[in-house]
Amino acid sequence: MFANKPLIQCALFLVLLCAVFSFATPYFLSLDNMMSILSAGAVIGLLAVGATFVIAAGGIDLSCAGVMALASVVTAYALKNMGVTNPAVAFLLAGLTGAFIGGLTGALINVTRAPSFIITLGMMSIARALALILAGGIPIYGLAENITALGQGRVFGMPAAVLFLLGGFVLAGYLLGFTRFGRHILAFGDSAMAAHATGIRTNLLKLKTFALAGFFSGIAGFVFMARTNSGDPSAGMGYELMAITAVILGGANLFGGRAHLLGTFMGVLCLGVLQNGLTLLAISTFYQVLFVGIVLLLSAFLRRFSARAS
Amino acid sequence: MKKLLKLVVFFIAKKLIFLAVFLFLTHGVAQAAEQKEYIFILKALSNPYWQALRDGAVETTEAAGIKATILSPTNDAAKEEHLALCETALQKKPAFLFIGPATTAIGLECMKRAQEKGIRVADIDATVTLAEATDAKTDMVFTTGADNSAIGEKVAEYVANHTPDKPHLKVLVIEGAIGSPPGMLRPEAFKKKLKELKPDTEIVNSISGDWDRMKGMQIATDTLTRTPDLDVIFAANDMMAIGAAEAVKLAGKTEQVMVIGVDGTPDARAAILNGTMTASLTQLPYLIGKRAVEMAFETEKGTLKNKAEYAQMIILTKDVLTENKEPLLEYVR
Amino acid sequence: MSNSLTLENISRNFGALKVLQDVAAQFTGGKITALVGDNGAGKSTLLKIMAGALAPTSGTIKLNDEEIAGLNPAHHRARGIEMVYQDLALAKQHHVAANIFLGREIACPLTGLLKTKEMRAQTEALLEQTGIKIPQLDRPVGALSGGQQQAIAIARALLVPPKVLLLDEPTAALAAKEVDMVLDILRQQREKGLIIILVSHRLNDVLAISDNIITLKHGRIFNDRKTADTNLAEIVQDIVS
Repeated sequence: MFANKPLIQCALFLVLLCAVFSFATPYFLSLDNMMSILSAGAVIGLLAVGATFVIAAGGIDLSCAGVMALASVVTAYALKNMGVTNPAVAFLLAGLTGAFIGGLTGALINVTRAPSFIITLGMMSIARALALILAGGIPIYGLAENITALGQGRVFGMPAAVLFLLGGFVLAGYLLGFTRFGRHILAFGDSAMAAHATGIRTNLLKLKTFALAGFFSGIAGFVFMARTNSGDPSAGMGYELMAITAVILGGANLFGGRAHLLGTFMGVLCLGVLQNGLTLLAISTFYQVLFVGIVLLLSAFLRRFSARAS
Repeated sequence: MKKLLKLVVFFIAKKLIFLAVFLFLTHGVAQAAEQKEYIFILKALSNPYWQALRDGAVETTEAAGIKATILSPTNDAAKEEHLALCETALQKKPAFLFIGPATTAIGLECMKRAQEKGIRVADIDATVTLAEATDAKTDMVFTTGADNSAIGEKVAEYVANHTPDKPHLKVLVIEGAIGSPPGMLRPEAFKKKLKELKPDTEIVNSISGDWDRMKGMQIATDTLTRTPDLDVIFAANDMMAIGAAEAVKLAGKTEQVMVIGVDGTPDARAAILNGTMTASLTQLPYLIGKRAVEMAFETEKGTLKNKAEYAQMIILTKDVLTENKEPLLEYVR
Repeated sequence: MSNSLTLENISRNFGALKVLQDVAAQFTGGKITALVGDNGAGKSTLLKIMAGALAPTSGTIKLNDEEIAGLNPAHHRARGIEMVYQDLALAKQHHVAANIFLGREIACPLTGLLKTKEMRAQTEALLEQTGIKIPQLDRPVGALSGGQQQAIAIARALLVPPKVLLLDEPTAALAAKEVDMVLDILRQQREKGLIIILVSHRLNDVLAISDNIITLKHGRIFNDRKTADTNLAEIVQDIVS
């Protein structure tokens, strides 16, 4: 099937990377290390979930890391200074903060009719500035055990962060791949004209898409906060590009219409495996940066050749 | 193609806005009252280090009845923005200009322009050395701040002093962002000095954590997988050190692994007090700001003796923080 | 009783430009009407107003004496007015069934899960019934031929049997064999009593299929002829005079 071809490529790529590292270092192939790759990928992964929706709809979201930082600060602030103690309330607060900013982004895109690139570039600065202002420029450190347990602890032997990651992907995969809402997002990203002509309310759709992406960025902020035990206004500088890279590695069309969460998941794993493997091998950062670039280019070549072959 | 075009248009728009702000600033100044003014160009205000330095500088300046103005780029990677800020500041004809330059080249360039206007400039981030200034035929009034190499060396000495019974140390070094002077110089000096003091030291990995909390955590986790008997983690700033300390705690090795950062930020102090982190070196930024302004006063009076004066540093540990005997502790903000 | 679509004093301005002025017409079921005219005569604008993709500046549209207000395609679709756009408005990376059911997906009311199998079965039945042959239903429609894409766009309009079918240049981009396929579908739908209105430049196709030919000129109706009583020369004369 056409839609699954990039998925298979991404899977092969991932297997190849794992095989290389398994031979190169004895520390790579262990359950513990796999869990460590997954927990390290939780934050980028949740950001990539949001980015998948936006890219599926033919947009781009540069604000996700800023929104994540804001959500982490808002939540940490509420936990430290406003007497919030319930982890579920904190989780919702983070998600809703993200969804609110995301919804605002969607509304601004509808009102201005500007490309999402510009609006989210603006929102990136605004979200980060709000985070800096609220935190006074200083990370909010030192949270209660019941919160950090959600980022650092284990549930049924699984790191809690991994559960957030998997839960996010399952929910998002259901929404994008198996519901009317997801179908409409993909159709809109494919052809805005087709979506409008068939009576889909495209403005509402955009609003919902960005709010949902914002929600996942907010959840990423919650996991970040629980993992690092702090709300950090300068958290995740440059993560938005990592998230977009993962989505593209996963076989999505940058111009919309085709995106798959299983692909994004494998894209996140590719990046995580690469970083983990190179660190285990104690290879200098210069080369790590180089390898991420090479992997992305290689995936572009692969796709080009297989497109020609078919 | 279309997206590229949009990108270019946006880039030009950003420049235009910048120009507008620039014109507004320079224009507005012409009418301002003739009050004596010191201008401070910092590297990034979102960083607790620069916030503390700012406080020291502003309080000392204002106590003397002089107006203090702070300028700062939006982030410390914005190098050319730094030069534009210098030009803007010179338009205001301050009595003294203090700059924490993004690079040596930008520091020298700013000093050259100031020289043409007859304005005194000092380096407050130990970026330009006196020799470099002389070579470039520019007039730097003085330089102060935290010497990055000295920071690395001091931490290396601390590590050596606290591990007398362990000749064969296994050490992880987490560098700052690639290309940033403190991010590279601190780890370099640390490794060199530690090798001198303890020749059997093994640097198991030295890798960039991009000044990022999560990356610091990730690198520490991965390194502990490979080297479970790790002894020391040195991170070029506290942000990465705290991330690494969380990873060590998760691995249940807080007792085994020493985690040391740089800056003495409030969250790092909290982590030291609760036992997660071992130590953090602070350059006492508040004192640097205070001292820079005092050196400017001495220059104006003609009594400045030493044109290069680097910051005093203390290593904050749980003992130092709780015993409260260190006299410089009052400058830790 | 057969359906009727009535236009009353439809005008449309784009700024100072009067694209349509006081257009009045009535269309009845079981007939194919062609709108012809020079570029800029207002044909496509009129079609889009009937489809709800554009709002008229003034005037009303009535379907069987019920006035249709509202200015979006969803509203018109819900009342049985379907349009096939010149650029087809297909999502080209999506397969055939996804396009046919776009905006009308069948989903389980409880779980929200799309019923992919059911939609595919209905798509097959629809294509069978309209005589459209597409061997690879799972390919993205962008990979199909121009004629197949046109056929899918028409099939989508017929999924929920409409009362009115509007087509903008349905044969412009097609090869001769594909044109026959499209015209056959239209004849078949005429038999079912649909109101069919099409805009076309291809006068030979127009003469081959339509019952009436309306010529538009400078935003007004210039002439309305029965196809049986006219010929190519007369129509060309109407358009260029």
